[in-house]
Amino acid sequence: MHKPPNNPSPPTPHPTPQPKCSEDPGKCLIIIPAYNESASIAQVVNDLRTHLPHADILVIDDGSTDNTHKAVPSHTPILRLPFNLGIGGAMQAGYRYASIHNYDIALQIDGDGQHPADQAHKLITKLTESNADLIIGSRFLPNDNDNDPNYTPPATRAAGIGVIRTLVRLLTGLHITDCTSGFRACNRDVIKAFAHWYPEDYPEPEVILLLHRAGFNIHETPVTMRPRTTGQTSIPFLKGVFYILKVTFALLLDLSRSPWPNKKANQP
Amino acid sequence: MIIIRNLIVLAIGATILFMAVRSLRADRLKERYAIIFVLTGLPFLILALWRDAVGYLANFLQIDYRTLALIAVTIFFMLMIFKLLSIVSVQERRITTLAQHVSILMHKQGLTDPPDEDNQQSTS
Ligand SMILES: Nc1nc2c(ncn2[C@@H]2O[C@H](COP(=O)(O)OP(=O)(O)O)[C@@H](O)[C@H]2O)c(=O)[nH]1
Ligand SMILES: [Mg+2]
Repeated sequence: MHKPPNNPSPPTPHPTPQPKCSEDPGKCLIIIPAYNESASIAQVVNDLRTHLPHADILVIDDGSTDNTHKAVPSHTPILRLPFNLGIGGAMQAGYRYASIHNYDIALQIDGDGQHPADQAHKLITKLTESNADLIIGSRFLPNDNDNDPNYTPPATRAAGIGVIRTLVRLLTGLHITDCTSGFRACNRDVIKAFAHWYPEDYPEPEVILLLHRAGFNIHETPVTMRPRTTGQTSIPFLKGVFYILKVTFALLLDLSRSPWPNKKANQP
Repeated sequence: MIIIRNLIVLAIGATILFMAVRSLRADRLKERYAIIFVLTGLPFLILALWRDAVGYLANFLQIDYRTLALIAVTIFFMLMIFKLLSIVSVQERRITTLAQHVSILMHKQGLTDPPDEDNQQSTS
């Protein structure tokens, strides 16, 4: 019924050299968190099948009330959470799945269509080519080779993003431009860490701080994103200021936490 | 007058202790949380038996007995709320973990429709 469009050569068993990556990046799982995304989820899944035909896809239906699972194209694995866990709990379900099934790479991409599938390979390439354990797709890093106008958020939201960026920089010394981006790729070590523990409240910025303190490497790569067209954001406009305060508080509290064993300490 | 006062205080303390024991026996309260109720009931019993306990302690600490009473009650409630919230947080984490495992297992078994009453009204 649902055939991936524009896919002239379906994945075949005989080994064809992959032009995109210099070496075989390994088994890759794309985790798509979806909470009431019935309007966009089919498009997101089909686009990903087109652009990353060799990766497995997993949709996390986070207790949606709009029959999101029925909108997911057939033959796509779905984890249906029995009730809404929020983005942190939903993502961790995906990382648990990735850890159980021994995936080498996990790519996380929003179910609302804001993260274009044609950008996803950039994250995987960067992950395999650098020594990073986590790659964050950034809307704000300048694109090196094209003139795509990068995503510009409303002024208030940009200010908020600036506050979080400064805070993360003060607390970690890392210059991450897009701390709240949910467009990310990580390797097996991080998958295992996330399966073991994952922040619940504001996972995107919190993960940066906690992974860094556990000795993991975090890099960014420029991606283009689209503004939201359907559904609704998890950060309503008016709650912005409150959100910044809560993120600040969460990050400061995280200074007292170390949920994962230190990566460097474990190495011989 | 003093006897009536003592009886009232005694009744309050006894009721709290009685409630704790009853809930415990009905399996609606874990032993380790029953301690909260015992700690609530005990001061009343002590007060009933030793009328001037607060005054004595206030005198000992050299502060007004009303201040002492207020401080004691405040500290007690803060500890209790703290304890309750930490119990709730641990439970919440566990429920989250369970829900994640349930979804993974159901997917593995090919069971697609989780029996969740919350979402039933939206269907058909
Ligand atoms: N709002 C919300 N989104 C969730 C939840 N669980 C998973 N998600 C998904 O998380 C992704 C990011 O959410 P979104 O609202 O787009 O965040 P934003 O892009 O930062 O505004 C989307 O794909 C959602 O479907 C949840 O409980 N609430
Ligand atoms: Mg979004």
